[in-house]
Amino acid sequence: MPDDQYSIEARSLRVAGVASHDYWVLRGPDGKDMAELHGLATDRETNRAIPIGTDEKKHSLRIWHYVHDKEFAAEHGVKPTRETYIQEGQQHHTVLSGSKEDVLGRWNAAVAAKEPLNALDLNYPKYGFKVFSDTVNSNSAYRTLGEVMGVPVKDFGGVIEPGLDNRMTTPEEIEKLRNKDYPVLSSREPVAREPEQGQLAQTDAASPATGAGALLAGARDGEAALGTAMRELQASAQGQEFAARAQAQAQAQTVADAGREPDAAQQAAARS
Amino acid sequence: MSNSAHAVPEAAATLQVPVETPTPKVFACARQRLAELGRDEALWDHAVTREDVQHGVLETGDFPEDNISGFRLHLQHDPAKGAVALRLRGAGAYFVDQGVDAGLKEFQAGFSACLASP
Repeated sequence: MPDDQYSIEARSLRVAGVASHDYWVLRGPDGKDMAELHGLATDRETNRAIPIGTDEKKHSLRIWHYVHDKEFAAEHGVKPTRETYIQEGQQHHTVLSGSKEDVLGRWNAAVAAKEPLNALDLNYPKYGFKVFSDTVNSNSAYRTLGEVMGVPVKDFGGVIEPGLDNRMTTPEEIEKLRNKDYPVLSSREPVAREPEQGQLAQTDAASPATGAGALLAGARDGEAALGTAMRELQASAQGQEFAARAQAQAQAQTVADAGREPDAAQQAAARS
Repeated sequence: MSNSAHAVPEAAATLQVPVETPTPKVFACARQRLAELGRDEALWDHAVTREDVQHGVLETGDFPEDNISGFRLHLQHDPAKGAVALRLRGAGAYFVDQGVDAGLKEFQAGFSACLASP
């Protein structure tokens, strides 16, 4: 990547081993992380993000813009923060690398969307998911912000991503929030893929339905905390089957990718 | 050291200060340091929610509560022993550690300097 290129990166924070909190990272020309965009459970009374949403009456889904770069923070009139969810070994995809104008034009549209999206004051589902209706949670915020930026909304392999198929608002409203100077990039366009060593490659085929169902059932039946439900899912036959299936599909995807790209095939062979 | 057994990431340390240092001075230095840190870093912007001079306890950000993000301090001053026990909690979303070990050192640096001043 040329030195003057900015980029937008999709990242996956593992939660309790099997679930994913998806979020966006802005990187500057030197590859340094400048900011993050998240959808998080937020206390309606204190207006602070909280670790876990536990009460829909008290907790709302809000967009949070954590700016690490001091100059960029000053441009946005916010206090810089070290708050970060970037960790080594996370799955991540660079969905766009380009000029400062292009990348920041899209990123700033997402930042501007924060206010109207937060004004919706959507309930944050207890422990992050709903049992009897569509889940709109942090992963729905990730999708919404990705669509506002007009970048491919990537999902991640080998993890459950409840809420990823949903949005915080309608596609028509999202279109209004976009910066029309920059076209919507198709998810089929080639993007840099950077599965880190020891991590599963991207796979789209592993349906989370079985695993999510087990997770939801665990939470519903026992009123268990998210972590407990996740651990129970991991230990269950259903959860292990889901993980094995996801891994097999990730490997199949890697082989398929290798078949399409000679260089990648050599790299895959070298890794195995 | 942070304790990973806690759901909420936490670091603790005990500082030695001159015996019979007045508790109000300890609290004033803590407040001063918290204000300095809060100006530059959003993680530190919790307000003081408990100040009990009689028992030597100062807390920020509803310290006993678990489901709160950001750096939150519990300070316990024992004038007779000349000890200030510090605990710093620092969860982010999903209880991700926001750097409590480094945060506590950051607090201690300015706090100790303030206490050493006349």
